[in-house]
Amino acid sequence: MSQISLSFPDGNSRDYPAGITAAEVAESIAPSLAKRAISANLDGRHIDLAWPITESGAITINTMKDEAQALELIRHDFAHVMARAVQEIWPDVKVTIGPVRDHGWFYDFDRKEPFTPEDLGRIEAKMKEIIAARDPVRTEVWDRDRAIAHYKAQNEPFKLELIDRIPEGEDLRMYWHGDWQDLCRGPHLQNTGQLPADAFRLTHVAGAYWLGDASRPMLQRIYGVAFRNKADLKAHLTMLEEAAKRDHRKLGREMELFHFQEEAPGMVFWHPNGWTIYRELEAYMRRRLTRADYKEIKTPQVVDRILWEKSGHWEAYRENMFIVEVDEEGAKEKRTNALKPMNCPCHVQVYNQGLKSYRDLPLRLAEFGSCHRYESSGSMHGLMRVRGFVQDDAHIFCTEDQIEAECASFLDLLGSVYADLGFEKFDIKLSTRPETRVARTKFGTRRNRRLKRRSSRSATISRSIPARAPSTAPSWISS
Amino acid sequence: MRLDAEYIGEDGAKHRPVMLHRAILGSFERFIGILIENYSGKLPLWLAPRQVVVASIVSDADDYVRQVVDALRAAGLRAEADTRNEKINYKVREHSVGKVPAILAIGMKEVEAGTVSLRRLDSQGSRTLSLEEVVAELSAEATPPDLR
Repeated sequence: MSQISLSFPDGNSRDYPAGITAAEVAESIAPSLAKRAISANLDGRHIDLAWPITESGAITINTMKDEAQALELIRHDFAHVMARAVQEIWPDVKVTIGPVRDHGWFYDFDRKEPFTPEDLGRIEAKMKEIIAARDPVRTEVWDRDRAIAHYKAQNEPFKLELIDRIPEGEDLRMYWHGDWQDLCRGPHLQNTGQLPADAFRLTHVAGAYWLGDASRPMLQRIYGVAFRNKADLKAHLTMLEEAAKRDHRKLGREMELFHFQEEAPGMVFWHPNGWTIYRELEAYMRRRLTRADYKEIKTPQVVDRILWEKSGHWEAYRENMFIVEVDEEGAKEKRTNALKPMNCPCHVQVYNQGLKSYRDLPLRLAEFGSCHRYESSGSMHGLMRVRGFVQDDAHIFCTEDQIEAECASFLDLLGSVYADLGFEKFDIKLSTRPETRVARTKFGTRRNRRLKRRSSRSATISRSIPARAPSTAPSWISS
Repeated sequence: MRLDAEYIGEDGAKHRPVMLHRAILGSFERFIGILIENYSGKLPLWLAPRQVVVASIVSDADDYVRQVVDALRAAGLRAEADTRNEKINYKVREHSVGKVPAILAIGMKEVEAGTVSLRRLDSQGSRTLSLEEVVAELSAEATPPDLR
């Protein structure tokens, strides 16, 4: 049998026969490590203790002390154990997928009757039985035909469709938690008894379309959270309670700030109290902009598609734009306009009026610009994600040589405004150009480099400001 | 840039300007959402929509309540009277839910002394101040940070 060489975090390496498992590697290092081992990382890939290792690489044995790996396994195994519990209670329920997500997992089920809070209690109790049974977890690689035959026999149509979507030639891996079987990439723990029975909670149920497609069946998604121990779970639940108290939609009602309604999804109805905050903030921003030598303008909201075609928005952004058709007097065809999704093209129109000389630059044009963007109804979230909004937008027209100074003074202004508004500490992220974009400029690497230098310098400055303020600062994404 | 912006450079030739796109808040809507959550609704006085409620403890204090409200409003504060026939604790509780940062409770003692009793949101107890003192204290706090 051929030999492979595995290197360890301490820099040592050893030769092993190909096909050795991570469990056996752990045993060869120390029996005590083998006892504590839960999984391994091979060249950064998280693998099961039971998987055969066929190629040389760098290996790390994980234990419950390795938080990221431990939580991934715990949450993933909980997803399987929950699905097993559901099918043990209701054998007719069809299973689909159950990925790990923030703080826990979810699993989507196809069941006619809705899951009630009482049902969640029953499922939790069944899960605890499965944990107490310490059922072994095992895995096998199956060929496609065998997997298809199995799921046909089990009458699991969603699993069959999943198999269909796995690329030809990729291994199909099956996992068993006790006798309960699921198609899964893994990795997993070694037995159900490793799950902390007192550190999980099924939190809620929500509807979810199969594969996120609104034309496919609506499934029921059960969410759970899990941690390594009871104290972590408790801290998380307390944090959620605190967050619920802070939720701006709840406070918006209690403080009578705003409301939303069906006839205008994603558009805010500001009440007197909320509008007072808005106006106070706007007046503050206006003073700051004036002092920073911006010129305020106001441009139209309804603009002919001709301009959007020229700017490239019509091509790249059309499905996010609200279209307004108007019968112009005497015109044969309706005139097609769009509500502006952003202000840039209109600001260029203002700039283009009259000849500009280098002496006019930098020219900073600001607008509290009312924009509309079509967002799917599922993505809307109170004031945080809306369809109609006002940007504190500005465009700085300058020469290439002025970019650095303009970025620097902008970042100073940004830091000062955030500090005034209670955010003393914030992170700056530099984003590179998106795949879908409208501008056609050739933005050279030299300029990108300069921007990077500028923003990293500013990020350092912002970190040195002592944090007096509450911790949830917004992150600023440059464009 | 597809929209043909130009400027005449020092060399007399036409050049394309750079256009920096920037926003600080992003959108007013989302930023206000963030402010509300960050402060748990307890906005600093300058941003608070209802800054001061002047609440009567007994109906005989109503005239003085209105005087106090007038003085606060004259100083530019967003002040309102609460002269409903309710217990003062009820009023304080209700305005606390509404996240009003300052409540002035007015009973006969305050009327006679020409003072006010100031309760701040989330702090126990109250302080007795003269009308001038409370106007000065609250208007200083209500001044936006860039104007201080």
